[in-house]
Order: sequence, then structure tokens, then C-alpha cells
Amino acid sequence: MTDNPPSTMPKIPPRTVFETPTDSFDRHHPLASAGEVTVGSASERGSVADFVVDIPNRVRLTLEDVPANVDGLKQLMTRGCWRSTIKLVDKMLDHETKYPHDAIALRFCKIVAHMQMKQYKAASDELDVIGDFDALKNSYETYPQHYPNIKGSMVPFSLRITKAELAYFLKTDASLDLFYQLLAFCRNEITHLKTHGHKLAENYITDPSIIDAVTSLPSPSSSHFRKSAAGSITTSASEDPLRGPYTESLELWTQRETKIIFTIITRFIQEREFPLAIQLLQEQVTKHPTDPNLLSSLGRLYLQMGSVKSAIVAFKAVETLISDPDSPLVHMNSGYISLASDQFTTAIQHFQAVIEKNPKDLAATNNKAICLLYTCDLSGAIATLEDLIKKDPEESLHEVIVFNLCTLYDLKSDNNADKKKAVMSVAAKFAPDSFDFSVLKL
Amino acid sequence: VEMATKVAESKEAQSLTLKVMRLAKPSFQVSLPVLSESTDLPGILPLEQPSSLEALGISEFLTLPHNFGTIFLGETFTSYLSLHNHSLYDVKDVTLKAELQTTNLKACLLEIASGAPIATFRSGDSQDYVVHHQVKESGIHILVCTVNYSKHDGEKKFFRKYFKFQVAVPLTVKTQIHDLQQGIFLEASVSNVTVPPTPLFIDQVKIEPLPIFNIVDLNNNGNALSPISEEISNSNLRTSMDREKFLENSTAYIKGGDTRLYLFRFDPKNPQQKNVGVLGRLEVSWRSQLGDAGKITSAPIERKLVNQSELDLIPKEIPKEIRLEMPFTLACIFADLKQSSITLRMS
Repeated sequence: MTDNPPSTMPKIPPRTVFETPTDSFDRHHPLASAGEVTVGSASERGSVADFVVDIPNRVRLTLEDVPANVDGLKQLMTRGCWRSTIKLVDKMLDHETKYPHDAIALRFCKIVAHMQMKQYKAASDELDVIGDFDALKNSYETYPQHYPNIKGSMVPFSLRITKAELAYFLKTDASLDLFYQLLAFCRNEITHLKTHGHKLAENYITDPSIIDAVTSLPSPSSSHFRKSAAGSITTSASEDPLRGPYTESLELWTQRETKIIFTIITRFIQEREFPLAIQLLQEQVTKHPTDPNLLSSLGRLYLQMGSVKSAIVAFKAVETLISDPDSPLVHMNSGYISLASDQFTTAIQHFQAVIEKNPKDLAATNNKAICLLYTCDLSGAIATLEDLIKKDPEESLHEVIVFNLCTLYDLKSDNNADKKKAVMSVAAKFAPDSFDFSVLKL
Repeated sequence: VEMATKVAESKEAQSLTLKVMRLAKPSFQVSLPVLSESTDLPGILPLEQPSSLEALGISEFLTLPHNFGTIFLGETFTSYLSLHNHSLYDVKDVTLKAELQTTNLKACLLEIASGAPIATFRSGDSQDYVVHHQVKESGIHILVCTVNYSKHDGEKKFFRKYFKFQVAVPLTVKTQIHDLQQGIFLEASVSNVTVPPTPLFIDQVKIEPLPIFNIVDLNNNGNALSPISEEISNSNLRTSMDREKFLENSTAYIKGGDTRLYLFRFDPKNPQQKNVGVLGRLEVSWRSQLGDAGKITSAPIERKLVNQSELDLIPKEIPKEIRLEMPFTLACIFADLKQSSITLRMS
């Protein structure tokens, strides 16, 4: 018994355009089922900026409040007072610094401050003042009176990464070539250390921050050791006799290599080149298979891309590594999977479990608030974030948290300007100088 | 986020406001931290996004969407509706209706009708709803929300809000049927035609065949294995992860503008019944950011029928092992599709 073929032979359409089978709609589809309806919080009258009233006042740290030395500088940088950092560095540079490498170290702080403030042109200008990293004026051997036994560039390695990043921000070179060059350089160093490292003498004090080989010389100099330079304001030699120079060097260069790879991966993620990012991150996981945080990042990356199944497997591997089903990391990861599977209440439970173990965990609280929105609890979501800011204004003023809160305010009502202004005032007092106030969407 | 609105009446006259926001899935906040080493003067900088992995910018923080985003045919449109009494007085008998309209269809997403309205809506209160709807058409969609209520003095009020958005087609599929001796093969090419180009993670491509067919999926469970996956499978990771599952779906990813090919074979359950015009439907399901799912089904896949010969000899059974110079039995079916009867003779 065969099916009846159609009486006319239809020509095969070369392209199957998508259509979906039409449904008959149930016109009285009751979607306001229990669980999706919440009555909002009681009266919205009364003080609109209630939650900020209890936040203690705080005066921002300025130039005048700190000593005009390295300690003062560190205080400013720890508190994110980048504007004052720039001013203090300028003030300190006005006085002659005895050691040339100190001047570079100070300028590095200024560049970091500019980068934090997204003032890329200014950062680039400072780099120009330093000039060529490997030029003689920036090398230790040019100043034998200060550094009798050291060779190499005085420029901190982090600045090389920053320089590569600036090329991207200023759009002079959007490619990753500079990063790959740095990467090749690191790997060169590592290979060099592994082959010749055992020959390094043991009776020198080393300061890893000075083990910066010269890039363009044919054979990187291996005598990177120094005795501590008395009177230098910035350096502090590590004198741990158990750690030889070789171990420290190798560790340092491996860390740098990893850092550069992570920067490249982040760039791929920002540009949504997910397969490339995944490939690189998987390689890192292969190198460090017992790092649960690394595996968790891989899981998050899979989720960002949309591959829920692979994320589940990565997170399972984390569980096996940690072997504590109740650990905060495991709960965070489970929270993400629940969210991706539309199980918002379960997700909230997981994030709550993290909060119970680490009440100060900002990410867990933020994520819980977001899930509350998806369970139709706008008021709960807002209260969670307001509470977070109120309890810990010093730490909690991240742009993403403020952005989420202001988005929730926009959904709540049109009369939210007062609330946003209240948040803005808290941010003005407590957030670092780098805080981008546009997230408030005022 | 907030969708463009056209308000029917001025707001001052109204006691209630309705705010609507699309609830696409959140995403992980990505940032590029400024780097410094512990021995540098700044020390390890207080990171903007707390993470134990300095420099890896995929943080643990989720962020709400920055804009409405794009929505594709086959995805689910989810939206938050918040009704709020911003006046000083209570209102009564509130009804709310939310409908999604296209040129062809009208779908009711939510109805609080006059039969069972919200009797009293206090001053300052809010009433929230979340609505879902799987989008079945491309093109312009309009979410129409109508609110009716009575003010404290008995005056009846109403307003209507319109939210317009576009639904785009994310994928197109071309099929080619190869009717070969070895079987009926279907070659499907799936193209990501999103504008702006958005990568889609293909969850599954499968065939819903007519019941007379079995489908054989010839696609390595839907994916090609990448070399890196092979490398990982050989490392320690294998002991803590199930190898098969980790590799599965790790590369089924179509970037905007790219195309992937899939191959299927139709095996008729009954060899005589393979001559049909319609084979079945192709179903493609995908995921984007944090699991936002979409699914589309194709029109029935048709094929040109071959002029079938009137007589057919189909082998049915053959022994597994045949020895030289020893007789064996071959069972055959002789099919006669002519109407007239015939006599068989073997030679």
C-alpha cells in the first residue's frame, strides 16, 4: 500500500524558506497564572531616597591628605583616587629622582591612572615621554654608577602590555600582532631560562621586577641580578633564601605569558570571536587542569556563546575537582546553568547559598537580583541591589551593579530621577575616579 | 530595554502607568582590566570585576541587556509588564489586555478581563506580569497593551500603548535530495543570515520524517571534532570529565554569514514504499547568549518522484557467510506493479 503521490509533480524548490505551522490561537490564554503576579511594595510615597539616608558621609581622599611619597601614592591608588594620583606623580617628578628607574616607575603609576580613567591619549603621551623601552636611556647599564651589575630595560613589563592595549584603544593597530610579539618574547625567555637557568648563580639577591630582558639584542643578557640599591625609593629586593633566582624567574615569565594569553582571549570575547576564545581557553585548561576557577571561566564562556551542554560538562569537572557540592563556586556555576535553563527560582536558591557562605559576595547578590526580575519580582530585585549598596558602599559601587539598578528603576516608574540622583551621590562619594557615570542613564 | 511607545492620552490625566521591558537573557559582563604586577609600584590593582584570574575579562557578574536587541523567528518573546498607580487615589475595576499583532495574526498574551478585574488598585501599588510568546512570523510585530479602569470619582479611563519591534529571519536552509541506489540522501545547508551578523550556537538539526521512514543521521552526532578537542581528550581532563559529552556540540557554531552542511539518509521501513513525494520536515534549534533558545521547522521536504519501474527484484535475505562452491539460499521479493499478472521464470 503506497501513499498516493500528488497528481502534479511539484518542482523541487531550490530553497526551503522557513515557515512555521500555523496554530490556532487560544484567544483567552491565561498567562497571569499564580506565581507570575506580584503586588509591588507598599506605598511609594515617602522618602524616595530612603536607602541612601543611612549611608555614612565620606570625603574623598585628595593630594593634601597623603604624604608626598610612595606611601601616599599607594594610598591614593588603593582607593582609586586616580586624579590625585596623577597630580601627586607630577609633584614628585618635579623633584629630581636619584634613580632613573624610579622616574619610570612613577610615570607608570600615572599611566595606570590615565588608563583607569580611559584617558588613552594622555596615557599614550606619557608613554612617548618614556620613549623607546629598550633605548639606552631606559636601560640599567647606562647608569653603572647606580646599578653596577644590572643589565636590561628599566621599564616594568606591564607597561609593554599596556602599550599593546593602547594601540587598540587609539585605533592605531587593532590587530593582535603586538600581543603575539610579546607572547613570543615571553616564551623565548622561558625557553632560555629552562636551558640555561641552572647556571644562574645563587648568591645574588634578585628582584624579579628587574628581570626584564632586552628585546632586540640577539642574545638576551642573563646577568639580571643586582644587589639591593640603597636609597632607592621604589625597590625592595626579595631575600627569601629558599627561592632561587631561577624558580622565581621562571614563575614570573610563565605568569606573564598566561596574562598575555588571557588578554588576547578577552579581546576575542569582546569581539564575539567565540570559537577562537574557546580554543585558547581550552588550551589553558589543558595546561592547568586542576584550576577550578579557570574551568569555571571556560564554563561561563560556553554559556556566553550559547553552548549550554558544554558549560554543564565544564562545571561538572569543577565539581569533581572541588568535591564539595556545597562550595560557593559550585553553587555559582549551578546558578548560571539554572538561569540558562529558565529555572529562575532554582537559580535564586543557588545564588542565595553563595551569599549565605560569603555575605560580601557582590556577584552572587547582583545575580540573585537579576533572577528575581525574571521571576516577576521587580521590587525584590530593586531591594536586593539597594541593600547591597547600603551595606557596603566602599566595595559595591561597580558600574555593572549601578547599571542594573538603574535599568530596574527605569522599569519601575517614570519618576525615578530622584532615586538615580541618590545613587549618583553615593557613587560620587565612594566609587573610584574611574566610575563611568553614564551607566546611570540620567 | 524600554521599548518605543506611543501613548494614547497625556500622562497627567492618567492614574496608572504601564512600563514594559523585553526580558532577553542577561549576559556576563566582559571587561579588560588594567594590569600591573605585585612588584610594580601600583601593586595588584583593585580589579573592577572581582575575579581570581587577573586579565581574563569574562566576569561572574550578570548584566541586564543594554538595549532591545534583536529577536529572531522561532525564539520566544518574553516581556515584563509593570502596572503602577502613581496617583494619590485608589482606582477600581482595572482590566489589562496585552496582544501581539502582526499583519496576519493576533495573539493574546495576557488578559485581565472585565469578568474578573482587579477590584481595587491602591495608590502607590504595582502589579507585575511576565508574558511569553513563541514568535512564529517574521516582520513587524506590535505589542498592544490596553488598560481600562475607574477613578475614585467614578470617571472611566483607558489608555493604550503600542510597542513595535521587528522579527528577523536568522537562518535559511537549502535542501538537496540525492536519490541513489544506496538510499535517499538529504543534504541540508543551514546558513546564518542574521543582520547584524550574530553568531548562533546550533543545538540540534534533525529530521521529522514521515512514519514510513527511519532517519540515519550521518553527521558525527551533529558535529565535526576539532583538533583541540582531541588534544583535551588525551589530557588529565578525561578522568574528570566525560569525554564524549565534552566534545559533543563544542563546535556546532555558525557565525553570521557562514553556512554548515548536514547529511541525512532516509531508510524506508518497507523497501517497497520508498516512492513518495514528501519525506518529512527539517527542524533546526539553536541557542544564543545564556541559553536563549529558538527553533524553526521547515516546510515539508519534497522530492521528485522517479519513474518507478514496473517490476522490481529486491533481495531480502542473504546468509552472512558464503563459502565457495557451496550452494546458498538467497531470498528475494519480486514486486509486480503492473496491474496484469505475469509468470515468473528463473534462469
